[in-house]
Amino acid sequence: MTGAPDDPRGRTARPATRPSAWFARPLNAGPVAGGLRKRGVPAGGAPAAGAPSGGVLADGAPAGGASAAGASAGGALVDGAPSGGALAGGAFAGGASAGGAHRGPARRPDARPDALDGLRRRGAGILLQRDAAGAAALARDAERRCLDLARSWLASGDPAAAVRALETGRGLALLAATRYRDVPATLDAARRRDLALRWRMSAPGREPAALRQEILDVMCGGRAEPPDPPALPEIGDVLGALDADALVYLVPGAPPTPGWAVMIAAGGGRPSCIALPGLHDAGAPAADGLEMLGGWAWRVAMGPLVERFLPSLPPPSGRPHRVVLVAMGGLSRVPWQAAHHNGRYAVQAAAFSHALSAGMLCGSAAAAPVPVAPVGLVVGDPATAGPALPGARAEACAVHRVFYPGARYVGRRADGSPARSGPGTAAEVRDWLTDTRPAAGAVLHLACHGAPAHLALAAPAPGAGDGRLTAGEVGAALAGAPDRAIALVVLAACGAGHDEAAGLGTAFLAGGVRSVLSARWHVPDRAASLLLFMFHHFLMAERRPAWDALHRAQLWMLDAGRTPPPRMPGRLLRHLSETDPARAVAWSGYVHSGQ
Amino acid sequence: MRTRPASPADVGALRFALLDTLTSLTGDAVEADTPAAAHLPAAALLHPATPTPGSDRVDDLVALATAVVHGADGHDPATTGVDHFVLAVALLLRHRLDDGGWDTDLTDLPSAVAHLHAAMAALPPRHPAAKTIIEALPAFLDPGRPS
Repeated sequence: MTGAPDDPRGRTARPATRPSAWFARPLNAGPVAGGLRKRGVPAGGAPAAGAPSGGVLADGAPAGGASAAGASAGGALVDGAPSGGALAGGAFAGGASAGGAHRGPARRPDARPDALDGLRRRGAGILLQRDAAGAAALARDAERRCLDLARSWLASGDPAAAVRALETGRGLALLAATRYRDVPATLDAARRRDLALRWRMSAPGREPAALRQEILDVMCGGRAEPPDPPALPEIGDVLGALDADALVYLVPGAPPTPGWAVMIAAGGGRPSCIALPGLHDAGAPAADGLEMLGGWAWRVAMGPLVERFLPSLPPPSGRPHRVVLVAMGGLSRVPWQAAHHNGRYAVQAAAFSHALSAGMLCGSAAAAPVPVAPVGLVVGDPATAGPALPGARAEACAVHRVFYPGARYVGRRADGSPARSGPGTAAEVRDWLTDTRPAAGAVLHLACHGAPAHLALAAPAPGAGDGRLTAGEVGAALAGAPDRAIALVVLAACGAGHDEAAGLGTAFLAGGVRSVLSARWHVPDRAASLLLFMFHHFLMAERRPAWDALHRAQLWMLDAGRTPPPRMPGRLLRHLSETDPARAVAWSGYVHSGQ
Repeated sequence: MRTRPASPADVGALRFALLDTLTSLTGDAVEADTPAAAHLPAAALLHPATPTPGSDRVDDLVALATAVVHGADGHDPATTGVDHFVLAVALLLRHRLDDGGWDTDLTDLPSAVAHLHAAMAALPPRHPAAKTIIEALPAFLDPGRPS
């Protein structure tokens, strides 16, 4: 069935890639908590009394707890107080109320809230790092410690507290990714060269506290902490407003402690949780194929969620079940929609969207929806140092002429010739992002090479290399255009949504774009062109919301009896005959985020 | 589904923005004070004496005309007819500028002709724009040459 090699839209030239190459990167991206268990933490999970906040406690607090409390096999009942109603084969743990009792071995004061506060106050340290890499490293460390705290709270039956910890960790990661600025440059721009000079003369990490505070006052009005996590009822309300049934955190375990799913249902607010013993970063099959990974994903998490949690929810009306996933740690690299069992994929049971955090989802939901019209900007395979992407070019041409005929088209045309309206440079995209004229439109489709934190676009001048558009540039452009309303950005570029907090998708969402479709992994070029054509078909021709349009496009790819819409151009019809759209690698790489 | 709907676009404002763009391209040669008369400067753009607009201006023209047709309610036949005619002209201009590069099933000319047909079908017979459209027909029949 498969014809010529279907190249992925990676950043650089690659050999004809194996279908599974997109997940070849090890999933155990961060250290696991097992290595942190070192400072006198009681086995049951309760930290030593009087442990200083943010330091010793966060180092070791949670590691021992979960195994004692909830690590029985197969998604076990963790607490005797089910909240979601009894289910066949078990129940979901309702958990104690926020700040309530936990299962410590002794009646010692619970130091975990103080530890979380201490981590939260690391925002100032993140913003005052000497470089972005330092800020990101500090945020990663804080997020990991928040994850440890969350595991501890889950083990002691308090999912509400765990949600606060998870949200705090993600808030710190987002702070580093979207709000960190070079300190002296920012001070110079604010005409405070005196402060910049004192900063430069201070020993890194040993700046006087008064100077740090003064700088924070200038840079961010003194507010250096991440926003407060949304209240649980607010999350429940937002899920209802977005037509989603539930938000599910997937929390990797740290063997021997289990992983967890923490669920918040729409309209509710009281979270429940389920222990998932096999769910941990290092537990996924390393590189043996997407099918094997999908089987693992079903066994460790999606099976219990699809077979037990979803049926416990009220049946949706006129749509499939819809879940917003917040996958923590390396779990964000797993294509959960491609989890499968007995020949059936999770996407055939429910629609999935992804969010960096509930806070970010609430932020997206709060913005007024922007109408989608057939006007915007389409970027089709701009000339770069990388190999040409004929599938991306065919897709961009088709998407432009069939669904967005009023859009501006830049890059290369179907025959490889340069587009009349521009070569597809970073400057052209930046200009569009800030263009508030009605002719600019509100949809951006980028079919090009990509990487987690940048897109490879046309060089600004011949021989000037790639014209990179970075996540930082996207954030800065959108921050400078608060009146710009953008309905949808489609990142049809490999891995452009991969590194969540610091990635391009997050930059667009944090900048106010209402919906983002992004490729988390390397996607075969021609197969992606079919999926994305069908996504725009369901969005524009059938007027479906973005999340539903992607879900329908994925189901269309899986349908052996699929028929192409009458307006599918001949070049894409040829792609259809030359590829197998039903292969998981062909349809599972794209995720929806936002409204 | 109960997802919050987006507020509809302000089509009236879009029509005025489109008229501004049209009249800026034709100068004082054509008088059109209201969007109802937008067919006049649009037709003038097809006249050999009118300088061919630049690429950016044509892109803006197509964008605004597309947004108008997409957002219009279609209740008033005369307005609908003028909207479609302006979009037909904009697409024809873009087709001329493109000069190849697209697959045959994705060129602008069939869309331009389809919108011209929609304009003719919508306009009342004695509407002033009907005469303008008839006079513009040759440009669409031989898109490589101005009428």
